[in-house]
Amino acid sequence: MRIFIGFLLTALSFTVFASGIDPEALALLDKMEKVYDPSGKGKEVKSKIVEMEMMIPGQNIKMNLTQYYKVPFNLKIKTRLPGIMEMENGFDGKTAWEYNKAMGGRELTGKELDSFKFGAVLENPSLKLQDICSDIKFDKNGGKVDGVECVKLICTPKPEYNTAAFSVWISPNDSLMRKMEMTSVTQMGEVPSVTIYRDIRKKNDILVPCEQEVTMMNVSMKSIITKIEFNKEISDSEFKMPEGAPVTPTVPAPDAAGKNSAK
Amino acid sequence: MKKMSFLVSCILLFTWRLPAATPENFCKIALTTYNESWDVINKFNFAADEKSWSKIRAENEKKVASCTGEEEFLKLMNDMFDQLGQSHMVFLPPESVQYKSAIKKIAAGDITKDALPADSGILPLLAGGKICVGKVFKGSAAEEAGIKQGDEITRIDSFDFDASASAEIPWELIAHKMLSGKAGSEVTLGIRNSSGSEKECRLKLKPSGSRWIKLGAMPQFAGVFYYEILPGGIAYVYFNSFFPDEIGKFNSLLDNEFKGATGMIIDIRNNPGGMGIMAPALGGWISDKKLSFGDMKTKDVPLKLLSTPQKRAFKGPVAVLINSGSASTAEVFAAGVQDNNIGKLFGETSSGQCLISFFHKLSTGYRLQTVFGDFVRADGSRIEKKGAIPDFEVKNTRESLSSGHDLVIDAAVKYLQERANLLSSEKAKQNP
Repeated sequence: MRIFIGFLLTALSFTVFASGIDPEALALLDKMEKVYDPSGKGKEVKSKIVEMEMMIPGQNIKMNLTQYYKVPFNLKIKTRLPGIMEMENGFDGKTAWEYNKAMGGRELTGKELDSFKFGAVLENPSLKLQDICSDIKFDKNGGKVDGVECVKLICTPKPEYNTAAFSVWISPNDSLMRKMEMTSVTQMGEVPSVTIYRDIRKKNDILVPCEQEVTMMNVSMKSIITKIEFNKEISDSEFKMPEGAPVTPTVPAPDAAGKNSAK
Repeated sequence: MKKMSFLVSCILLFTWRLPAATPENFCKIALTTYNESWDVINKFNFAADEKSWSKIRAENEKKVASCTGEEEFLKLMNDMFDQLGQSHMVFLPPESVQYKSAIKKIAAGDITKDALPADSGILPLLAGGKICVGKVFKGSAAEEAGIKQGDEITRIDSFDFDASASAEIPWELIAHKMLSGKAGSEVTLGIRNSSGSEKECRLKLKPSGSRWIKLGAMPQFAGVFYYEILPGGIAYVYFNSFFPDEIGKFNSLLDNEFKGATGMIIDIRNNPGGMGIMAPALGGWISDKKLSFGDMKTKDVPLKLLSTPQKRAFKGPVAVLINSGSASTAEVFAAGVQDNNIGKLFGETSSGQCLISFFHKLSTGYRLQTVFGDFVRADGSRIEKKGAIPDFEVKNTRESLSSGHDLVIDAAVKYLQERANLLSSEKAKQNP
């Protein structure tokens, strides 16, 4: 089962493949796979470039995002806030990083690294949910998403991913994934996020949610996929930290003053 | 407490008015706007559960219901925000009013569509209760017009400056904002020199070396960025907001003009802030240690402001200049420098308006700058209503400025020279 959804901000999307721990969940995920990728095109995907427009309607803010993915675990996201800033986050299979001219380069460590790495794992079309999760079970609190009745699955990633459990909502009638809840790990802290998937349409014979609404800290961001290219040649160097971005190894920052004296 | 943290807001309130509407129609628009504003406040504000707020809401709703005009409504809303007792709560007229105003100017040939952001080259400072020319930047319109350090600014266009009228109004910030705009646009200044003679100067604003800063519903303003090397090899940089463009320029200077500098002066006087994350970002360029610049506490999630230390970070001593016009992110930066002991603060206590906010556009077109979270500095204390207190309190006088001395810069230079000498002798002892 392969579901392609765009990658938003900090590892907010994933590609779901299922089997399952709970047999009922497995059956549902099997059905979902057939709906999303009836001809098995997902297996042929070696790379993808997704372009998105993102808006924060309340604040009148518009951004552009481009996500580059290449098998097995290469991922890069370019975020442009026109006239204000450009930012890049990447993972080359080993090192996760972030870069922009104002903040310089930074190598991700700890939970932040795990989180970004897991984002790259979720993008891999040859991995199934049962490969990366040690536990998938139904939760009784399903409910409606956008007025559509859904069941809720709680997915616990395998311990080696060191990533918190996330939840997905699937509508049993059409087997579409409508919602996901997970925690994004950033340098500033852990931020719970909710993503609603809408406008699910075929792209390259695979169903893709072309509109997503992510809510973090009560702020809603809407994104629309404007272009997807599959199997376009992407150089490995695309996923490396940009040159001229020397990074100081990160060490934990103290919480209180006085311990940080640098000069 | 006056809500003038973002001067842009003040200028808008002074300048723009909505087209006339019938009192009945206006009342409906005002009530919709009022209720939406409260919905946004209650959804995001970390202190929204304050019991007194619902009383304030109910009381003001009656007044809004009888509101008949734009001016009355804007005043009522901003007065109500004053009652909430938080900085960063500002109510603005619809953006379309700005556009209309801009279009009129364009039609009149006043500006061109692609006009660059521009500035007069004056750093206005409060000295002896007067708004004075604190600094005239090299090559600026002010220098060309013969304006001198220490001159008193009595008027900008039709706005009279009387700093003695209220100590709560950030006059420096207002003056600074009014002295920036579009390249080629003109500003008329009333100037009184040290001998008391008065004259009128007409300045044609010159490109400020920065760009327009426009983020969502926030009013657009001209970024200003100046730097120079002071005697003794001390790098001096001044900028009027904390946005990526300014911090990126600072980064570039480290490899070029600032290379080999013996000390660094970061002048954030009259800087009303910007994006919160730019405070630790700048911190990453003046210390190669990972530092905490404080915590942001939103309604649901606590967030940390951590620097991203860079190998190329400036290694010499740092002085940060602040005044009552330094607000918000500028205060976060100043406090972070102080708490982490990576530099010293010079000047006067900052504004004390340090909450996390954003601009929200309401369905009626009105805009609301509203508080999102609280800010707690790295030492556990708060800046809101207190300000960042300088390590070295220095106040300028009219006489000092007229004699060519900004006492705050002088004190910073003295400190940096002493510090550089100390570091140099320590280094010599370690490597004889």
